[in-house]
Amino acid sequence: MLFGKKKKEEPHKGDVLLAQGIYLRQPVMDNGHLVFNCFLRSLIVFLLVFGSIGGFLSALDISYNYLLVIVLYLVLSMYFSFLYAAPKFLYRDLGYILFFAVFLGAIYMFRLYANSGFYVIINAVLSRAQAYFDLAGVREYEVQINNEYLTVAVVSIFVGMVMIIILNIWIYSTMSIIWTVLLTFPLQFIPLYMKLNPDAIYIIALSIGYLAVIIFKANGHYLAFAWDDPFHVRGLKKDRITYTQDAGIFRQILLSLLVMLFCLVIVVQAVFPVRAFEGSFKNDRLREKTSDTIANFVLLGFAGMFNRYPSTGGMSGGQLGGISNVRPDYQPDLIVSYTPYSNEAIYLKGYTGGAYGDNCWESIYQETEAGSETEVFEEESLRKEGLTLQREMVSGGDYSAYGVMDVRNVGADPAYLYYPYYTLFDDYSIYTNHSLMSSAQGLGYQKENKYSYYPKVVWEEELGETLPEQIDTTQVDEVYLQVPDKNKQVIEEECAKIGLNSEMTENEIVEKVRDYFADNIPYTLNPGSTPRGEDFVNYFLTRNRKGYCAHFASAATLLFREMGIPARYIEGYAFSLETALASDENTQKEYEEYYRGYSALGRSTVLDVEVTDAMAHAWVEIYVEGFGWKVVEVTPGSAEVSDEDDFWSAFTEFLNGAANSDGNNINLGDLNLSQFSWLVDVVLAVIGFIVFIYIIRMVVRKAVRFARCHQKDRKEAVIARYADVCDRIRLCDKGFDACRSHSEQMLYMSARYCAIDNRDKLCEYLETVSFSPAEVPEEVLQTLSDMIVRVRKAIWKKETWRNRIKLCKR
Amino acid sequence: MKRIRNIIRYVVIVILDVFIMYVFHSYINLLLLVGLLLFPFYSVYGLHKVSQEIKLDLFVPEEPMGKGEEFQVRFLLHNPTVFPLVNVTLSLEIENGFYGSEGAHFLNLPLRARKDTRAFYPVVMDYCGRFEIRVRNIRLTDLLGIYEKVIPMETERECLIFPLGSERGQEAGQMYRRSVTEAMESREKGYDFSEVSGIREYIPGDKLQNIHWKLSVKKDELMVKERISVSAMQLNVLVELCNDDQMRLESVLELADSVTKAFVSQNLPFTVFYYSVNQGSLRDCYIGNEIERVQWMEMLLYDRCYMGDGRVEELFLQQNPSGGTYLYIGAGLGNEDAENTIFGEMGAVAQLRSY
Repeated sequence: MLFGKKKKEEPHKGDVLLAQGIYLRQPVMDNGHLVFNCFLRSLIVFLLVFGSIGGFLSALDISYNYLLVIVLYLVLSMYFSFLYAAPKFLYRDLGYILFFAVFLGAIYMFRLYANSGFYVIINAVLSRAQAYFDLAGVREYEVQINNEYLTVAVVSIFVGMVMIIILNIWIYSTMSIIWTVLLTFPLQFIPLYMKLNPDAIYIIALSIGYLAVIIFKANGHYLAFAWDDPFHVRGLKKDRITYTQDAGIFRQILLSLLVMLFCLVIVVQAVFPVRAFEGSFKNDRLREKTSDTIANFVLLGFAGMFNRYPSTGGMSGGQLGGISNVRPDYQPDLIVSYTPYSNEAIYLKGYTGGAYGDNCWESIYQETEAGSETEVFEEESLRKEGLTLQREMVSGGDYSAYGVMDVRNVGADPAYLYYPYYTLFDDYSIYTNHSLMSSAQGLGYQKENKYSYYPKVVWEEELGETLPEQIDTTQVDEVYLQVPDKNKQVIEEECAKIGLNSEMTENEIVEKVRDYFADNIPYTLNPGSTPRGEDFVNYFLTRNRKGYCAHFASAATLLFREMGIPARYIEGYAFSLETALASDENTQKEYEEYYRGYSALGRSTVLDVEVTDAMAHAWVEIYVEGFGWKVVEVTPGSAEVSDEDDFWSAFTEFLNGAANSDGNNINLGDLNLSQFSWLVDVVLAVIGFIVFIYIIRMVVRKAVRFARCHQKDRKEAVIARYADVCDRIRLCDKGFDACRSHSEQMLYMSARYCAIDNRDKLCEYLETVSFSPAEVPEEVLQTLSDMIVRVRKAIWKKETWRNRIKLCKR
Repeated sequence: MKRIRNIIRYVVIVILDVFIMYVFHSYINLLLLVGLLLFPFYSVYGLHKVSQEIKLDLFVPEEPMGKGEEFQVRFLLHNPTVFPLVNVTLSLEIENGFYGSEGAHFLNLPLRARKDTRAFYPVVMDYCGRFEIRVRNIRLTDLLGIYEKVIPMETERECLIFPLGSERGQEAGQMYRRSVTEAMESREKGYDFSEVSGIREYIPGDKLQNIHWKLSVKKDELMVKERISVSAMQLNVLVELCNDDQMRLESVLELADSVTKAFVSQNLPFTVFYYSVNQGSLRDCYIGNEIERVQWMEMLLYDRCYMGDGRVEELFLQQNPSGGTYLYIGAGLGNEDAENTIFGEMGAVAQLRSY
């Protein structure tokens, strides 16, 4: 008969055995109503979200409808918190689905408000950034609804909703402080970077939230559901009966934190105000290192952070403005064998820019008539000047000299030749049509050219002392004096700003421009790319006012032209004497073969210099009356450290010590790793400590287990061994927990590991040993011990490697 | 391990905060840092204050409870300070003093500030005896879970759990009458069952009926007649408190409860004998009414059972060699005659025996 049959009730089902014959039913405690509990927990979420978003808005000084935001945050926090009070998981899931439906509907209905509010916030951020970074101007987004008070509140509510959902899940399930901080704090970085601090009330709210999470994470009692009893009976294994949660404690802790942090914030603000705090820092490395990049981002958005064409150093063929960040790879591009003869840098000429066009220096071959390329190349390669110097050398001039330079291409653009100043080529006709950048005419990869050149070691004092108007410009192409109309006004203003005038000689103008650049425009490898539609030189001189060699050389070229000095833009490689002296000596090559004549350094040796892409450079050539073209360097020295930037190299060095052997700092991009070397020690120490504690814990556990299993009381020892075997099985298979009695456990062991003979008898023995206070014969204990040993060996034998590792670790 | 984890987590948070403060020159993080640095002191100080002021009250029912009946143990933690604690752990020992079975566990509770924290343990005992609960110590954990303090306690409470014998009035009455008849026959044969063995000073607890009033008036202090407990008109009941693995003593006690309750309800006086482990000798107790019966039961449950062979019958016969009839309540041998025996559960018997 199926109906009306009553199931036999187990006498102490669910009760806890406290001692033989003494049972504990479900303990009771007045731990507050579940709804109140949920409300208190929702307060933590509310405080964190309100502190985070409210703090961000208050730092930017944006007003909004506080009441609306607070009420909705509270309601939403409580809603999601109460979902956990639902009697079934299904209801909670339905609650989420319902919310998402409402959320989608709301965001559709209020999209204009949200959009406008978002733009109000973005405009406020940009406006603050403009003031902080001293930018000439920033974009401003058009706001469709002008009621900022409402629109900011709407967007805050939508953002808050997302944060509340995520935080609620974390706080209920893991009470994770790391995730809580990661979700709520990064928003503050934006105002903090611009030294804007939120109001104290938001700091207090955030602090209460963080400390509450820390406290409950440390102590537990945060994860509870509607169906939970007031106490968790964690089983006899742990002999521990713990309460699940308590609204009273939640309330009192939140109140304590509120009072404590409120007092603390007031006291700290009184004793150590913001200004005193900010004045206590001697430097501000973060902002020094990143302000350029951030300012570019503010000015240009994401586009300003990326290069429009690849540039890892090296040649750019006259293209300008597309590089946001120059990131050389520091690999050799050229190997140059030569003999140092002067303190001056060696310039290897590659590309010559003639007319300044649309953000580029056009090749001088572009407008060349067919058949006249050889002449152009002779002019570009300064044949006339070379021949002059050659004549001086032949005639035995005091400061004349002759040199040979081997240049091998190991990584440079093969479209160019890289030759030293005042080289005389054997055959000029082979170098034509440079505008096509034909690699056949350049220095091919792994090819080596031997150049004969006549260095001008000493410049006569009278050279360059001519007024620009006295220069015989008929000797040079008129393109070298052209300033495009679009740049005319900016260049004129800049000339006035620099203080250039027609009374100045060539040398004075060059000196003035160089000094002005050095004093007023900083050098940076991260200038940001030029916005589309903007002129490179104009943008550099009027708005950006920072840049690398191409910026300075381009601007200077136009400035010189404006002042009447023929000038052209040159790209190539340049390296200093220091770089050369740090290179390897080439003992295979004779000094006499490579250098003759006057040397400012006296007799030296042949060096093999590795010229990396970081040594790629742009400079200016001006025409000097009485001689011809000469190099003019206008790029100021870099204040930036440009050490090894390869990640692994930098990291390896970082691990090896705070500073490298030269005492220089180690940098990874803009980050000075040397400052954080202590962090490695701390991290290693913490990891070491954790590993040490882990090992100690493992050893102690094993020792305690061993002691229990080998105690003098044979009966207790057998019980401990059996419990140990059960723990091992439980570790390998959670399903073992379903076995509630010794007979079920033995059946499981028999089925999974090894057959147990006389199972019923052994089970009876085990029951006696476990529950009877009477003495147990030695042979019974021995039989049980043998069985346990057999099962333990079988576990090891039959389990997977993964489980064996688990067994070893326990 | 949990404490170490908490310390590491806290240190990581502090380092992170210092890092952000240093890198961003952030004033918020300064405030947070001050809070984070002060909070451990607040937490540990709070723990210290609580440890000085905390009080524990433990309540169990004052009246004896019946076997299988649920009763409540009440814990009351009193914290007069303003510092709440999330984790307070009581180290509890639970024991049945009569059987000597014991267990230990921990009870974890919150500790509210300036308030009492109450928890209730609904307990059921399958065996009669003496329920004892002891709190050995209280372990307090601070709010950050990084510092613990153990306060020794010796709070102890106990509650007696009586056997609940079934109604055996008719069988017990017949047994009593049969025993008295045998005693009368014996007296007719010349045996004297009434005997005062000595006079001694009154000890609180002595029965009023044993006071020697005349002598007391003469000596101006209470004197008591000490009797040999054998009386011709009374039944001697021997209760064997020897236990075995099957816990047959439970059935013996239930049977003793049934029989003695029946005697009292029928106004049949009797003397109970049992072996006291605490005293190491035979104890007797005259019972004439329910109050005396309850007192005897309490006395018995304050004692302890023993394992092995029975002792009460042997000792009784040594002390009373002159012969007579008595009712033995204990584990039966299985060959008892039905006429002189009342059978209980699990082989427990109440058998009329003569010697």
